[in-house]
Amino acid sequence: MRPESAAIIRDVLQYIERYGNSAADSPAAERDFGALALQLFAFQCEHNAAYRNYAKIKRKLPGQLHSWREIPPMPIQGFKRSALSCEPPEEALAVFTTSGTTNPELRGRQYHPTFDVWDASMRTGFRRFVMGSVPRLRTLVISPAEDLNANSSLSRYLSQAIRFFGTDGSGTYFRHDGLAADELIAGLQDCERSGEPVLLLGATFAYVPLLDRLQELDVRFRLAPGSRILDTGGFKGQSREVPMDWLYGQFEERFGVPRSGCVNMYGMTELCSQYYDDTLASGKPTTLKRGPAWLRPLVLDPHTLLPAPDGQVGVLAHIDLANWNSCVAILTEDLGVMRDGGFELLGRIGGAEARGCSLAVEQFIRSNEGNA
Amino acid sequence: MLLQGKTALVTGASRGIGAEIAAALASHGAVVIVGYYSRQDAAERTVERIRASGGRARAHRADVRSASEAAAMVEDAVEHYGSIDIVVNNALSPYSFSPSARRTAWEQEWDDYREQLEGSVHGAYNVCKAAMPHMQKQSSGRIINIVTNLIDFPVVPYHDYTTAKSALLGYTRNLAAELGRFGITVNALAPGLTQGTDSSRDTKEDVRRDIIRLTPLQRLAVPQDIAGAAVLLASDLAGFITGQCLRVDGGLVMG
Amino acid sequence: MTAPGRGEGDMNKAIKQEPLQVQAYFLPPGIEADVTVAARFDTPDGPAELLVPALNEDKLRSIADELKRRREEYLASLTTADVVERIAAAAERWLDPAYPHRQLAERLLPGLTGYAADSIRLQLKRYMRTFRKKELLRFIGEELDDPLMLDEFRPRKSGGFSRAYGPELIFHVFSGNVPGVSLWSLAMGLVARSAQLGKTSLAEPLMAVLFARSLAEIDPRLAEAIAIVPWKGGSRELESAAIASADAVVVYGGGGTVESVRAIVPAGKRFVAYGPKASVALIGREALTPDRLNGTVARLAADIAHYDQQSCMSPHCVYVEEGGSVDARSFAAYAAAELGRLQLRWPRSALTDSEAYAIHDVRNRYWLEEAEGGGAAVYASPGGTDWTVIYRDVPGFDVSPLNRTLVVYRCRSLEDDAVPALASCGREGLLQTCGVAVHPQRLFGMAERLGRIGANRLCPLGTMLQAKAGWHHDGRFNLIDLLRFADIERGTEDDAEQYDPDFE
Repeated sequence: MRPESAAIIRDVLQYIERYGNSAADSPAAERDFGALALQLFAFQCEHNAAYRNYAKIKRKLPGQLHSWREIPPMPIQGFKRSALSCEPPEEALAVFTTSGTTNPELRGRQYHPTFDVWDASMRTGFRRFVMGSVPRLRTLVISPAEDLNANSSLSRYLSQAIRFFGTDGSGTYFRHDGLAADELIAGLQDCERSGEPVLLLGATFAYVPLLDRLQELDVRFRLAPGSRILDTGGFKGQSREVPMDWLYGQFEERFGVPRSGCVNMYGMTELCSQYYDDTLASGKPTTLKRGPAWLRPLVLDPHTLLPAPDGQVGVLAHIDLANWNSCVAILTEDLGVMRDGGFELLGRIGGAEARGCSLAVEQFIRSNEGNA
Repeated sequence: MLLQGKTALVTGASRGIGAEIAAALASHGAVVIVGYYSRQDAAERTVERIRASGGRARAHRADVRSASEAAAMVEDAVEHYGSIDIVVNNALSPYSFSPSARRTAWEQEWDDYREQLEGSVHGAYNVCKAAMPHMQKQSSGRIINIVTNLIDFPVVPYHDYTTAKSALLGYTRNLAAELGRFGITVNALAPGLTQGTDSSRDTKEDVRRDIIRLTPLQRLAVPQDIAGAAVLLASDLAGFITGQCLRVDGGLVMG
Repeated sequence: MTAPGRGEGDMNKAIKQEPLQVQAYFLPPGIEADVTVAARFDTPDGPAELLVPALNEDKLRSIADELKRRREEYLASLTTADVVERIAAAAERWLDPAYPHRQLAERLLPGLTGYAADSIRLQLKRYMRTFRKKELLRFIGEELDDPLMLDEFRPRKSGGFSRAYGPELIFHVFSGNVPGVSLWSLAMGLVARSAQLGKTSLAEPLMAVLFARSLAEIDPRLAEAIAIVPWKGGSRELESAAIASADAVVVYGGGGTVESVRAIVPAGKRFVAYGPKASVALIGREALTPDRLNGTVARLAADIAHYDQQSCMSPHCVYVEEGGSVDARSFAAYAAAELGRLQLRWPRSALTDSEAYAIHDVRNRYWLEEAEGGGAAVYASPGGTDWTVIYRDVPGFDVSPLNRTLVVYRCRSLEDDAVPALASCGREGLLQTCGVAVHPQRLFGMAERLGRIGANRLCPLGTMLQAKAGWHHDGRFNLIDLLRFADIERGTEDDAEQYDPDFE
């Protein structure tokens, strides 16, 4: 690893340590965040030609910026095109890829030369938004973990959650052939009997078939107080779509975990840090997402891609200091709105329909696929 | 800040009018490439001056008479700042304005003309040619060529110098006609005799007095006068002005 | 509570202007309907509201019945010449700048559609000229050798007699992307002597209504066979009722609209669809000489700017041949600068968030390609999404997100590079207009190649949005597709003679 990388990692780790637990934004955190974000951007422009050239075309090179808010966010389609890595990509310890397409060429890739920063970010954020003052919990994972998918950031996240915060009885229940529902039920019954609080972790869509199964078997748990459920990622067409309120209602009914014990995490392969809603940390149910101090959202006006005023719906961009090796700022295809210092996720921005008889993109793609 | 976010290249910017233009563009928010040929020390001073007042600048050495050196200077600007928005062609082959020591028409050699044409016209041509594709890319650009009011009123007939500047004015107008379609404006700035520059040092007091007497604003130009006009032409305020020759001479020449 | 002072109250009143109420429907006399406000928009004279009738299945059926009855009473008895005369007379009124309906359209359409007022004014005027009598006659003559066939049995060259009949009632589904696109369809339906039930889009429900009023001014009884009603597309109940009442269905619109209507039209009922189509421009090196360059770019840019590229006749992309005085890259820069100038003359409409983001998405894609050193370049309006020109150094075909987003493909030869790039689009039946600028000696060769892959119309740049009378709309007929024919076969008339008692 080049010495500049080591130095940057040191700076980011220092920031995470310093501001890891600051609940509110202090002016010092904001100032240091801005300085470090710009420093990271300059570092990335120096060592990542694809990002530098993109920034150059957008006329947002390091010397041209006045604030971290001006850092040109890399569109997530960029992660599909190029190896966005400051360290040589072929030397990466791991490469996380986005899901959603069968063609590996078309997947977004995030290169990890080391996991030092990733782990520090995950651990610090998880502690604040999921664990609170509790050091460890019996952690049961219902989505594929690291052993099944070495290229998934979520899988690593789930495995690390067990390593960092799980008690001995923790484990993963997703196998090569799917969810081991019977084992999971036995595990939960065990917890119920012993009165040990549980932390359930999984993709949002993984809970739907599980709840269906519990209903089929007519099983209900009264998990010990302090039990928590984390879901992430939405449905993505992987299960039927259900309203989140229904899901939380079911969590209470089937597991005995109230809404205030549930937390939704928002993460992306293109980010090395995660957002959470504040429900567990504050005790008040909310869907507003917040990040740790080194991860900040920007809502951009869809017409100008410049920061939009609070309360206006726009496209989400994220500035993540833990993205030291790829791009410190990324542009998503998600809509959001800033409120009370957090943001509400409003789903993906839709494709544009032609207003009349002119050929629309979607239509053309459909007819071409029909051809293939 | 009329020029926020713009990138400007000023040739012959180490001293005199060029340095003043560079500083003025920077003070209005432009990032400035200070082009120079021989006087690195002076160029560095210009850069320092800009930085000291909060502007951004870098010096770049190039002989603009060389196509490759001119192109390299433009590419340097693009590499560092993404593109180039403003070009000020101020460089010329060294010339001293000495009414007494000047060569008369019958003493002028063709090489004298050639040298001035090389510096004024060929230099501007090389820089413009390199900058054009980048300005086209943005559908906008400002080219400002520094000529002289001696074209209209040869108070002192500096044959070679003024002929070359006349050619540069012709180049300016033709370029304006061609590049307008890309949203690029090309204008000339024609200073009168400007005090406080190295070139004007040898202009004697009697000539100065004569010029002042004929000038409605009753003084000689100072570099800041020229720089102010350059900022105007470089800015969006002058977006619909092209192919013009703006005289900055206190009204000595009108029309 | 204190009452506001008199002056203050008056001032509020002055500021709060009563909206202008615009009837966005046209119903035959005797049909009453409850009316609701469907949309509000701004005009230069203050706010306006669109009034639409409340509809249900029964109401729609009674409208259709009434239309058919009135058609039978009057329209069916008119001759082709009568109908042409009346349509042309209505259009002539529209060609008078002082005509109140025209002035109303010019005031309302910009706020309603978002398109630039000057562009609408220009395009409407050009469009109305295609309804002059000579154009209508040319049109009918193009499709029917003997237009009188629409009036009576006419002798055929091959012997026998034929007559053409139009449907009793045509149900039209109009799109709202191009103001007035509905008029041509209405005119053809009237020539076919059919009653007209037009469903307009709320995006532009006005022109059909205003034209129907013009027809009513010329001949009230003719206009009684026309009803124009807007509703939000996709209402299965209303659409099924309209289809059941009609004996021909004509649909304009995107793939979704066409398919959703097609799905509920019973087999055997006449169904004509003008579905989604893409158009392109092709520019030969001979149109890029220094003296031709300005005109070439200006005409192309106008085709892009009018109606913000939303017409199916608007070009998605342009193929620029190498060897002219500018290369394709500079051409892209020039086109971008021209679109920048047109933004001042005919400002682009405001976009929805998705429409704007779609443009940013495409820009980003090619910025990323450019950053990788690929052969793309993006020429984009600063700040917003007013215009975008994307240069690509390999010919291809991609659908534009429209709203003044143009792709410039560099090609070595139009024949060898551009045509193959369009082949798959053409084969899918999606290629419509090709604006071409080439040497006369190349024109027919190009036409042959483009025609073979499925292109429908070649036209000069700058007129891509103004199809001429007689064009084969989407490669088909306009009138014939609506008609059915009855023949008296050769010999029948001779044979009939023997039944004349006086026959020898």
